Amino acid sequence: MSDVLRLSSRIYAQLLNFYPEDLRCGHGAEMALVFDEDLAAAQRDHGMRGVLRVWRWTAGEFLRLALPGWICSPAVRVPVMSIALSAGMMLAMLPGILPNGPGRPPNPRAVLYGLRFALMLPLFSTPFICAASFLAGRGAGLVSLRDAIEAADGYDDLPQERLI
Amino acid sequence: MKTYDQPLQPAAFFILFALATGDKHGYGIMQEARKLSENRFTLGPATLYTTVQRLLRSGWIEEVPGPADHDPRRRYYHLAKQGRAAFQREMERMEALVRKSKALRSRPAESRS
Repeated sequence: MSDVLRLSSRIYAQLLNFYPEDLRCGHGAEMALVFDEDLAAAQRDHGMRGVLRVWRWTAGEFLRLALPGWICSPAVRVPVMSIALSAGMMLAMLPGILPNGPGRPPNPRAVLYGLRFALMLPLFSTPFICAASFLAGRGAGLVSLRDAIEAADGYDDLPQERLI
Repeated sequence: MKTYDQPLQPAAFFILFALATGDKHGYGIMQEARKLSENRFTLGPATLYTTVQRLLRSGWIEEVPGPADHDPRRRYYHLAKQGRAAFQREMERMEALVRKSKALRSRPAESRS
């Protein structure tokens, strides 16, 4: 196995972590195997161009199938919202730091205070973000379990065409 | 009520088509789909297994034991009766569309409007 294939295989194994859990648990090993075989065949037949073609497809699938679900998961959404909130609070402080009128220098004490606050806020908020992520992760697990049970209950009533 | 006029998604169609020619593992399905579409349709691993998972759940395909000396990581799939019927219906739908299209083309231009 060439270095390119070995590296690609490792990267794909990492990308698999972003796919939905049921897909990863049910078919993760097969997906990795199919990817390796497809990549090896593409390199054998078309060289580096073939490898790039497989990666182009893989990236497209990743953006289409893995990323939307991953971004929507509470474990990602909560920290992003917390950081956005901190950033918003810092922005709200900007008028206090900026000079009062045209040509006036900013108040050094206000700048110092703003800088200290900007550095301290993430430090204080980090434990809360971690706790929120942990709770959100557990919550996400419960939500997906509930969804799975509801989906299983209603599955037989759906017309087969809607499932494909 | 079941309606059969809904077209299948390309990935589901090509997986059923590939399995209609015999039992296959994932990579075999991928290669067969490429061959059947004359390299115009490519199934990536994620699209392939997302669709395989749905087809398995709906009972259109089923997992079967592979040959005695097969790689244990590979799983083999078989087109179930329900899936074969769905594939047949899809082919009939396509044939009907082609027939209609040919009939339209064979009519004189002035009678089309």
